[in-house]
Amino acid sequence: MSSPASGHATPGERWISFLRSYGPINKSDGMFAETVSRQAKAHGVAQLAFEHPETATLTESIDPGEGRLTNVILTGTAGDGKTSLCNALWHRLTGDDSRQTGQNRDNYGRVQLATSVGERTLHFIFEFSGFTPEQGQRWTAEQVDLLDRFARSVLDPDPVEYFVVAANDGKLVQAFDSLPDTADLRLKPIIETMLTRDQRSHEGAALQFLNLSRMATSDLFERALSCLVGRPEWICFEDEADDPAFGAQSPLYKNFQLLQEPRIRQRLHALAELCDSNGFHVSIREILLLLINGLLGYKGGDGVMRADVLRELVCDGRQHDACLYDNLLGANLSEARRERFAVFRFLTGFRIGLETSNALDALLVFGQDDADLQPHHRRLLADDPHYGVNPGFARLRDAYLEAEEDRSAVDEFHAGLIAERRRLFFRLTDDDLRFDAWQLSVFQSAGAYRAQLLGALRDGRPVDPALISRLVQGFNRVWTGMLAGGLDKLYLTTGLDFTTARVSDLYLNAVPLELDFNGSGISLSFDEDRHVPILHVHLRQGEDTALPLTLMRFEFLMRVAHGALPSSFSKECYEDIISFKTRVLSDFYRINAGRSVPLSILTTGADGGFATRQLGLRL
Amino acid sequence: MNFLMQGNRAEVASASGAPGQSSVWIEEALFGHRLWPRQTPWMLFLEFLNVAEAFHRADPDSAFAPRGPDAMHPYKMRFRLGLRAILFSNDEMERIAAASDDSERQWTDWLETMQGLGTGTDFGYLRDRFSSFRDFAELVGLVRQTTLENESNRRSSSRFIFPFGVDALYSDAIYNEKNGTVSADFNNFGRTGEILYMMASRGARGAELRAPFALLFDPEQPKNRLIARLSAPNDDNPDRDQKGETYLPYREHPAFNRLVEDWLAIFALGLPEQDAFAHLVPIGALHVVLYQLETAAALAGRAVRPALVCELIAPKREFVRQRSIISYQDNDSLTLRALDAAIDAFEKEPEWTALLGDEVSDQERSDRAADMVESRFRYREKAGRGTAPHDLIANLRREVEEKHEVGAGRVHSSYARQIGLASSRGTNRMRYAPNDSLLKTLVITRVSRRLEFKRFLADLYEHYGLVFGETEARAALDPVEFDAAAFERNRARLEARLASMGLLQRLSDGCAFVVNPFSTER
Repeated sequence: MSSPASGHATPGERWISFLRSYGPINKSDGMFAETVSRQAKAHGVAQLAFEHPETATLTESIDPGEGRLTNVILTGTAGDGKTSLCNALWHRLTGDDSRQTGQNRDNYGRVQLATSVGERTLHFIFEFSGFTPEQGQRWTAEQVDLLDRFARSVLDPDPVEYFVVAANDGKLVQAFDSLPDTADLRLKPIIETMLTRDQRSHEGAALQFLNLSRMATSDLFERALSCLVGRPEWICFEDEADDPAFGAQSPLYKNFQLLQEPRIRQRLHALAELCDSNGFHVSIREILLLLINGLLGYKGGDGVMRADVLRELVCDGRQHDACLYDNLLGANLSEARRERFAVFRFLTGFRIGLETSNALDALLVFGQDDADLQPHHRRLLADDPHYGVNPGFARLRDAYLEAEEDRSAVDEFHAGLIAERRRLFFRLTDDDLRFDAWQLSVFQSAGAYRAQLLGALRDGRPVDPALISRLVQGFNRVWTGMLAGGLDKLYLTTGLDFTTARVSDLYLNAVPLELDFNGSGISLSFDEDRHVPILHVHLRQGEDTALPLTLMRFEFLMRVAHGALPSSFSKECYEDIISFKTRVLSDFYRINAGRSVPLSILTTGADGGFATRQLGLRL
Repeated sequence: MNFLMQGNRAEVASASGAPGQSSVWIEEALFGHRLWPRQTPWMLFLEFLNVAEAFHRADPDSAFAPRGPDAMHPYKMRFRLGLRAILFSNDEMERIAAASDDSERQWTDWLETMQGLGTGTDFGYLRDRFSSFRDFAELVGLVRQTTLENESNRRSSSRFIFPFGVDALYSDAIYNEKNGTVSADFNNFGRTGEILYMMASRGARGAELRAPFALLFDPEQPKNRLIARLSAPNDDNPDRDQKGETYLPYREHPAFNRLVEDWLAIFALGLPEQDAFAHLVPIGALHVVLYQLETAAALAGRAVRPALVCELIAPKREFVRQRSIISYQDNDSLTLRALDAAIDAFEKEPEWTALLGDEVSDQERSDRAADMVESRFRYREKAGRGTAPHDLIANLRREVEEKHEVGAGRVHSSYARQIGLASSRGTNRMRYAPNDSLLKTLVITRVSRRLEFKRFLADLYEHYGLVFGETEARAALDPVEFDAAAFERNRARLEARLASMGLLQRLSDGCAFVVNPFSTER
């Protein structure tokens, strides 16, 4: 693809052309850093850059002047900024910026550092895969030697050399897994433990292990967005306002304004937070991709607008084709292209616009004409200064409502309705009393999850007991297999044969919702490293079994508590919850070894709650 | 290990009456007496438990000790008729329990209905063990809910409950209501459970199974004591004699070792109570199948163990499905090939060829041929001894085939289907397509904590012969039968399936870990 020669394009045009390189246009993953730096140079603009969340950690760990020197592994998925961090560190220690400008692309670098205990060498391995064999290939002596030296530096006292290594997590695992027996294998179990347990350091090892895929997506999102909207190049909206591409009617202008609207930012931040809570990590590269696609996406061509396309859309009055709300969910791209990017896979998984409620659809379809709904329709949709009432949708709606036998109008109308629901999703605010935006997604309980669980835990407030009750009700229904009530205690039951019997009605124990004086009860905490709430079942003082309460599991439990069958919504969640039961019961049997309990059957009482009936026998 | 070599294989004990009762004795000589296709995996396990308990009872320290194939090792099981009558011949109990609250009256009424059942047991002992008739009825109801599904037989004497412990273990039986006798029923316990016991005890680490099973056989175990409450005083009598005619030809065999290794791994997870059974059962049956296939392949002259090409069910007809069907059919034919090979080998033996060329009368030749065939294969023609050798062999082959059709030849298809390894879902032919339950059992058994996905595939191939991905397919198949892309897709489907069951964690660069959710290290 060719962009207008830099000499002839306006600053605004150059800016857009440059931003496109961050979008979902065809490129091969491995070349991204190079492509961007090349594009930056060609367009005469600086790359999009913000302070990496792990910069501070690196600054502290490697500070030879202050006598701090250690080994560092930077790992994670592609696009998390491993290379950038390394380059920045290189620059800080050597003053040489040839890496950051892209001039120097070696896989390896070395710097001699003066420390208080003498001179030390710091090796930079900028790309680990350059120093390990391909899958199935043999290790060369040199390759093994390097890893041996690395192991010695980490584990033996008084190292004279240190290493900074950037490696994709998969590559790291494969490399250490395939090390020959003759190599120093001491590091392998340590690395595996740190990777799978999310540890940043390990006792007895001079190693800082930074797994960048553990960075909170919400944090990265905030930094990226602030960086993007704060760029001076957006002055093109003033300087080149005569150009339709940058005037007030330009979809780019509209999208840019919307991205800064608090309610949109908050909604996006919420989505990022929920990705974290589901264990989905979005890389820095893909966050930028999401934002650029949001600004410059459109339905047509290669999906990302150039200046001339912008002008065309304005001319034809087709701004809605580049609407931010659709772009943010990747609706401007073909399904095949969307599926290639993790961020769109995650967001598609939310099924925004594909779920709804009667109230919300009524608002969308009839809101303009209905006296009761009109004020809400106006404040949420019609008054949107950028993408107000969509004339296309109005036409589709009328066609649908008036068509009697004709079914062809239905599909188009349905597609239009989905787009409208998406718009509504972004325009609703969290404190809207009448409408809950999350009902437009598959995670109907996400609002409660964020407000009552995430919010409370982060602020150090106690979680609403009613919420815990509902969770417990969900557990009870799955674990006992009985569709009855049970809001006040978590019931531990077993089948006579298997503890995981579908209907487990032999009562073993009941755990109260709040910790009692035996230390038995339920508590919630927040895992800062994995950004997810944890539910703890305590059977007695000092012991507990923990379950990360991802958004997915939370939604599952809420649905079951409200009457859904455990086999619906998600088989994986069902298996997770049953595995958790096995773990809790294993603990129970271990603690109670040698003791007998009275044999009681759990039944459902007339009020829908549980009742136990003792059999006068002991188990 | 070459398990076919001299010294590893022994003939059946001369004192055994089993060969004499068979129409022909080849599949038994090659695979054992007997592998019975009509036994379900759970019946297999139940029979196994009964046998193991019997040897444990005789001498706890020598349970799971290997015993030679050429001797008979008798033991005694129990019929437990009293318990079974209460559980399964007890039709009036619920009605009586619901009818009133007068426990005394209820007992009296009920005892009357039970007159004569359980071969004349007096059930009055129950009165002293339960504070009320209701409690008794409730417990019986609870225990009944654990009755194992048994597709074929609904006879009350063919019903088995979950093996909570020693008091819940009893042998199969047939009651004769008329004369009150009870005898063994070889439909449910077809000897294959005993074969499983022999396999386990002859495995390299078989002795290590002693401890976990000893725990299971401890009568003081809480759930067992519940059953003991119901049991009649006579139920403990070991009244079901077994002469020990079950026969497993090989002293050592790699399949035995793999079975023990897997069972020990499952026990090591420390699953609560008897949850481990859900995995021990399918793995046990799987190893019986693999033992038969591996032995058959070696006997048929194959150089390598059989591979089982598995399809992760694809939305439409895929190349892997074809390969999987062919793989299944090939394996299904292995036992017959092995039998044919044994007869072929016999025909090439010097004694036989000499007989064919000898200058003797036809009558004498037929006689001596009949002698040789009878001595080797225990085969006797019904029509007498006049058949010419050539025809004799042909008749022998036919007899062997017919017997194989309903015996050893069905084991592979029957067991593979029942453990969820083979199915005809989505097609009209049987092929290997492991279901979710079996996949989960394989992960739990083979992955002690966490194992890289490619290593997991390699292990499944090395340990069981299962082929999912392109690497193993390349090793197992002929180049002309191999399509890398199709197997890559199959592998990806397996990866996605495991992920959807919460058994797989993905990292970057196509690297993934299979995770055991019950591993003891958290």
